[in-house]
Amino acid sequence: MGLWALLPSWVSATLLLALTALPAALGANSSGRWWGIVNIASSTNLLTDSKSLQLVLEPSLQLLSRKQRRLIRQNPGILHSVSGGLQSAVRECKWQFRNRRWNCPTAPGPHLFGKIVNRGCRETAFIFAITSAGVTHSVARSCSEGSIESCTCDYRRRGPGGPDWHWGGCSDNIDFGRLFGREFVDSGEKGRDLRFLMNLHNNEAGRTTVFSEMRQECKCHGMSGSCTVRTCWMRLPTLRAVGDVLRDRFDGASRVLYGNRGNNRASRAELLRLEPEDPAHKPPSPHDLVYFEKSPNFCTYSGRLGTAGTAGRACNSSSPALDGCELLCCGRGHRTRTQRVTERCNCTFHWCCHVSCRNCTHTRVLHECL
Amino acid sequence: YFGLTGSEPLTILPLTLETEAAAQAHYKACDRLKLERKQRRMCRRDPGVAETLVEAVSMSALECQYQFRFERWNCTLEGRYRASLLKRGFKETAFLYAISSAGLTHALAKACSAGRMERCTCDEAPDLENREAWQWGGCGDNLKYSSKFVKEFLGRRSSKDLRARVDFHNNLVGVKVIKAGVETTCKCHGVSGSCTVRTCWRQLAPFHEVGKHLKHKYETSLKVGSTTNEATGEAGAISPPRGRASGSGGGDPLPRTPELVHLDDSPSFCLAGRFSPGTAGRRCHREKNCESICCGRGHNTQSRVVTRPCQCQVRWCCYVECRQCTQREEVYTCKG
Repeated sequence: MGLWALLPSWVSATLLLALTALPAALGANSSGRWWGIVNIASSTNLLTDSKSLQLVLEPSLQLLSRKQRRLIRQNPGILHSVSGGLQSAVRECKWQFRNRRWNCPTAPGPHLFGKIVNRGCRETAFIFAITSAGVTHSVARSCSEGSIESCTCDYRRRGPGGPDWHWGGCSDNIDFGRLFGREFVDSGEKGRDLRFLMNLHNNEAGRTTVFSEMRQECKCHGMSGSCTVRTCWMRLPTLRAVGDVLRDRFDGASRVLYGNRGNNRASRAELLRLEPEDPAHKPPSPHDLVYFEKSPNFCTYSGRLGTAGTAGRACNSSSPALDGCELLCCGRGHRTRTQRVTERCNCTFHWCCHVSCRNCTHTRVLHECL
Repeated sequence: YFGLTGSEPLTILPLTLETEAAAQAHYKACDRLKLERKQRRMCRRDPGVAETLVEAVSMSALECQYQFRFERWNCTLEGRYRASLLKRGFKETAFLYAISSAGLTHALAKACSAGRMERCTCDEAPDLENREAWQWGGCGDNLKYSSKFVKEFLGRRSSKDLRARVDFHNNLVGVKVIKAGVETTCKCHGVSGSCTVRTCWRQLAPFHEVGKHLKHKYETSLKVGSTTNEATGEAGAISPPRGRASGSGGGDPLPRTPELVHLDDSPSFCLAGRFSPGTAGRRCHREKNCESICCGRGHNTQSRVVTRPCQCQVRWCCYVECRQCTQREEVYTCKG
């Protein structure tokens, strides 16, 4: 605040003009533009106290659509939650694909996942699903923590729930998270083509997975801990559990194309239909991921495709699975290196009070793709 | 070389009864099997050999495809894939040699005890008589004759080529696994089934057990390389031979180990190539092996309705009556 006031007015005007010009320079494709806010540095207090000013201060927010910015203004505290959810989604994506040729690489700047999101392949489907799930998950949790002003625990769960238990505690507000997630994430998509439908479907698949993995937790009350009375609430799954399900959906993703059912006068819901490319395959359910393009070859570097290649990746020389050198290195072979590692060992506690350790040196064998 | 490790197409030749004299029939059958000169001579020596050879090929092929049904290489034996595979020293090649010799040993031992051979009969164990409370009897599988026959039939001991010695070694491993699987089966006689007298005989393990054992050896196969002995210019194995290598009849330079050995690292068998048709379109089990068999390319899901008999009941008297239940099941296949 103070720093801003110190600047001469002509500098402020120039800076504002530059910020306003940002959207035009970002390129035609707008899919997933909102991911650029992943590195936003903000505090809850700042968001709460300076609603309109922070929208100008933070350049990343220019990546959001008008509707997204309005949603952030209407829900103080939610920007921090969205950003945190996005960061969790990135970590989960990297974990789930750590042993694959495509290991979910990210880059600083507005194009978080690179050019892969411009393709309609399975990897893009997973990115959209996990980011949508991450936001839904984080917002629902923030509601329960009280970080967002416009939502609380899911207090609709009150009263008796069964013959021997009743609702209580603080149920995670998955309904708000899901509703906000749909409004916020889907409003970043524009168009009516197959890519648009694919992204909407995969976003919803991510949210639906968080919802379907909710679990009930209970606590016993009564004399000496007996279960005379039980109180139960709904708990969010861990994002790891959501990631496991989505990775399984990724492996079984459905290749789709536009369904030609109906004509121009058909209802909107009828037009938005994705059908499997192979009629013998199962139609995709709301939980399934969909794609329409074959994945590129992730073995070699390609600036045009945005693939990093597997050269230099660590691999397991004795594994026949995907993390093995034969598969991960795409048959190019691997190099073996030895590394001397010194670690503290044989630590003992001495009264009173210090810990003394010895230094142990051993050799570690590393394998890397050529 | 013969059967899975031979060069002829892997068609199970029908042994139709010939109109010629009976003495000439098995000569024709031996000629149809496309054997080498020595092998054909051994085949003609006994009328039952040809039939046993065909049975051995069939048994080995089926066992190989069973043991590798959940692997990327699922023992594809079509001509051009097998021919390319046999030119290299992969682990898969080693398994083919071992399962082929094991199948031949097993089928021949069974044929002896079944009375289908003229030159051999049941296994006789006179040296063990009266040593135990029980006595040898019954009809044991004749492993001594069959293992000797197989070593002579498949052997090319004199070759100096490292690859040939590796193949012969793997053949012997197959025979050794058969020998290690011999079991003693006994039967009791006496008043009211008491064990006053027991009769025992030796029996081969089921061939499924042999296949499982060899599959395990495939997974722990040892890689051997070659060094050039500058003094003699010979290529020898890395492991030093036992005894003197220079003398005639010297020790085998390959390691004296019951393990399979291979020379080359295997390809991935993921994509269609010289050695396999690839895994595109392969069926897999979703939670178990889809990720590995499909090489990370993912799998497709097909939903189909199957009808099976269910809720069967026995009706007096006497037939079984069932209902027909329809059930939807999902089939997973690898993406291309």
